[in-house]
Amino acid sequence: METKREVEISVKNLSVGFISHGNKMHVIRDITMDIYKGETFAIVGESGSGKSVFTKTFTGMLEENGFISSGEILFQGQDLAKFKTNKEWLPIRGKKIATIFQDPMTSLNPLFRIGRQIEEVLRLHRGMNKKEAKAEAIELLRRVKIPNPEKRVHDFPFMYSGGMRQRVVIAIALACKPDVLICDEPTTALDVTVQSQILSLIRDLQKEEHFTTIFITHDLGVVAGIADRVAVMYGGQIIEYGTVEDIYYHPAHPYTWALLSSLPQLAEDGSDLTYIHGNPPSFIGEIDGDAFAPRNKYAMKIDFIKEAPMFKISDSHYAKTWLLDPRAPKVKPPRIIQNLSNKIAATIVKDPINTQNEETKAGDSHD
Amino acid sequence: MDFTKLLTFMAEDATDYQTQIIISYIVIAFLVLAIIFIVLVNHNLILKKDTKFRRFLTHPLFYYSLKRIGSACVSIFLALAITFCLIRMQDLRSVYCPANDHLTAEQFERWCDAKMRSIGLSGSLIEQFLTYFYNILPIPKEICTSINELTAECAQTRFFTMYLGSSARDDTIPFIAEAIFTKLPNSFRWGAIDIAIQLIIGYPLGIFMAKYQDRLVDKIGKTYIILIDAIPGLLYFYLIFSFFQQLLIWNINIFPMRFDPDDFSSWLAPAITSSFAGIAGIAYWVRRYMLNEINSDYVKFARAKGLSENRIMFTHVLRNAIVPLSRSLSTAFISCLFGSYFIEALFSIDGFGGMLMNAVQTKDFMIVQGVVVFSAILSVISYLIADIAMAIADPRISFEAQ
Repeated sequence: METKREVEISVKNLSVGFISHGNKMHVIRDITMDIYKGETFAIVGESGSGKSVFTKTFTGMLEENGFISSGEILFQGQDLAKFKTNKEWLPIRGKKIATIFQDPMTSLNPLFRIGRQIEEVLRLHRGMNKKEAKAEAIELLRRVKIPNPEKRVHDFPFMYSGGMRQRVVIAIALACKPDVLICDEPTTALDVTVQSQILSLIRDLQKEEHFTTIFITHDLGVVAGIADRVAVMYGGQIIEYGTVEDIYYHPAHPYTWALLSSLPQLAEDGSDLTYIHGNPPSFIGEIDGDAFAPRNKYAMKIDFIKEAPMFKISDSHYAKTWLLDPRAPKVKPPRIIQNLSNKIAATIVKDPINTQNEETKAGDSHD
Repeated sequence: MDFTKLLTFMAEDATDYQTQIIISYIVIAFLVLAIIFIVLVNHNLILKKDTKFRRFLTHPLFYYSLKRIGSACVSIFLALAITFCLIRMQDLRSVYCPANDHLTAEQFERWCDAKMRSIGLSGSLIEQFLTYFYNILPIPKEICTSINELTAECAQTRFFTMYLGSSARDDTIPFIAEAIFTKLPNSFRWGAIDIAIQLIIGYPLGIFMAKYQDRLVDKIGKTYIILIDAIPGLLYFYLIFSFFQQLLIWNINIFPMRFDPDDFSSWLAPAITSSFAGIAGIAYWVRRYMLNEINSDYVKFARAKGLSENRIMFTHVLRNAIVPLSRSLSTAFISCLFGSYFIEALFSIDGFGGMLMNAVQTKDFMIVQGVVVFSAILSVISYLIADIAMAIADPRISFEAQ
């Protein structure tokens, strides 16, 4: 992998807190991460690991009781973490960093025509007049492969299927030619065949427009197909990151092992599915040591006392576990993962998108 | 303008009456044919070519309204039947034939029989019902409206449209329809202003309460709503009433207290007094529906699109919050015709609101019946409008049933 690439978003020591019922919770704990221009960066983790909250800080869309307690988010020469008012966010949000959400069924205003919802953005951010905006809206619908866009532009969202609505949402997100597209579980609510269509659409558009994609998912199957680099999140921290190959073939963190082990594709006939025991950590109060330690069967004494630093494995691959410390005993990853490399090696590299059809949802390890 | 003449079309002489009959039957025949025609077109039996005319006739909204009017007629018929039965449980003979010393017992009986027959109160219940129903049907008819006490002879009046009956007690109300149409405009005068005030203050209040949830505006608004709900209406009616009186004592004469149909400023005091409850109701529901919408996903996405908060609030959210409110809006407009008994008693307004109450007190059951039938017709119309308004406000509502 090239190491000297242009950085799009640089996150430094970011911490995010929430205040709920008088309790202060640290939901994002000291994340440092560079996201490169034009790449597809996937963030995986179970529910409640903080992956959505992390990306919400890029567009200032934290819930009212959330706040950035420290750190910085550098994007095109500005520190987004310092933004306070909505006014500051308006030129970034939707224009430079666009977001698409999980549920296309409810992402569109049910009472406005599809055309109007696209035109709204075009007129606001690109200063088009009504006529230009309409022509552009039809063009955008054509690009996201809505059949008969001249006619469908006048339809209401309820006349569209789920997959088509997500296409419209993508069209709206891309209407202003953003530099970054955040996809917050864009395919979770869709059925498997539509999922793969949407994923390949995002990929195709990315090839043409060269935007950076940040892809949040708990579906490891989707990640294998679409991402360049993967970050695994747990307990509000990125505990391992690297290229897709790094994460799938040489996972280093016990949590990544557990996550991969619970891919349903790996289960043998008749045997039980593997799952991760226990619950994700509570964010109320301080977490001592490694957040995953209580659920980790490879945990050492130090894991309960002191948080591990990021260990460098290769230029592209980092993991936050004491197992990588030279003093730690050598532990081999579980057998099921060693099989994984052989099992999906061919499919991932050769024909990533088409495998999506066969793969069911993978790795929602927590339930 | 004389509402009574306009709506009952009492014909002066016999030739006029004949013409009216012919005209009205032509109109009825035309209506029946038109309905049959529209139904046939909608079932694809005739006029199969796609023309603008056909598209209009088969427009879902048009056909839906027609069907809705049809079912509204059934509802009115049922309301009519129920009131009719309830009224017939009373001893109407004693009400309509008060003791009369001038007449012998035989004359009294004869006069009373004739009178009961003339107002459709003799014979079996079914006979009576058919008479009543015939009377209120909007077709020309001759109805016996007063009986000579001595000869028991009938003086006929010709009606072109509805005949709701006449008062048993009050000689100043010969025809109930006439009474309703003289009182209704008075109620409408202050009622319309009442509704306008409610909307002008209630809507923005609700919007701001939702926008600044749990902030000062919201807290004040909530307190106001709770107070209005908790305090009996009569109490604050009197409080506001005495406030207006106090203004007069201080020689501030902006709100004249005596209601005058021709003086706009005198309509304000009752309207303001009555609007307090309505403002609270509207603000409450607007706030509720707005908050429902604010937490929905499309608002999040609109924010991600980079729209400003005000824009999201006033276009996206308000548009969605209006859908459930569009129903109540049209019913509110109709209900302002009905007036309010308390307000009209307080400000001595000769309106529709007190009519039913007075009729019940004086056991004038034909007025009760007439008012109930008339109100039923108005309510059914208002619900019809409400349904259509809602269907227009929300494209997801389909007109094609099933």
